[in-house]
Amino acid sequence: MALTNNKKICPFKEDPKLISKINYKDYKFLRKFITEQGKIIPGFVTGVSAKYQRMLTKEIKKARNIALLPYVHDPRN
Amino acid sequence: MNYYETLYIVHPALESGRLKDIILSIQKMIESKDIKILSTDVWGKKKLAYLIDKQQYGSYVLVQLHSDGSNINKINSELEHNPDVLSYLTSRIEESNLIKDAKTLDEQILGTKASSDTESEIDTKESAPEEPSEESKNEPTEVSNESEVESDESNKPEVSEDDSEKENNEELTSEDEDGSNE
Repeated sequence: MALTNNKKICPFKEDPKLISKINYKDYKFLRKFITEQGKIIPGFVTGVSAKYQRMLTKEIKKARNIALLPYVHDPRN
Repeated sequence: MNYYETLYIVHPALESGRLKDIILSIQKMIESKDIKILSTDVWGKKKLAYLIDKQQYGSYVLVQLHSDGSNINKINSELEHNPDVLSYLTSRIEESNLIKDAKTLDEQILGTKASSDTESEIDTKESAPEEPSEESKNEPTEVSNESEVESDESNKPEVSEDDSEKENNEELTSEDEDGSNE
């Protein structure tokens, strides 16, 4: 019973318009899926389905390569 | 024939005043490799997420290309050895992602300059949008620059905090429900 309430819904399946935002150029949107430290948040935490989590990780890694997103970030600084 | 795009960062110190020359020389280099340039988009000066060659800022330029793919690697090696370019990223795109109505280079460069460094362009700012000019007149320019930087930095933790708060709330509620059910 309680487990069913715990289930999260994938934001991209709820609103398919968001799928086009999975792009390294839209790095402000991708910030929702990384932690303060710069780590990619796993899909089971955010509820993103496996298909879109694969797309997200690819684009986040591209954005890191071109310095739009950090590889690591120290929140104390 | 496929569509590609290259995003590159121009060195801020070497760029000063001659961003257009650098963009045009890179365009010439690309066209010399038999690759067609579809559009150029100047993003303007941005803060880098981490230091590259000890530089904190850089000007981003996006170029969209049409090629059969055999010459794309040659662009990358040219950009690698170009001292004006801090970093670059080439990726394949779909036709639907192309920029359709692009502005001319002059308009883009002037627009980005007016928005990024307000200090030097206050006198000659006729073509610039009205809102930032009013702000810059009311406030000293140094303060406005600092506030921009602060806002950039403060955006990150807000987003992540929101997410974590949501998650925490959800977890808390589910635990409460667990307890009540048992």
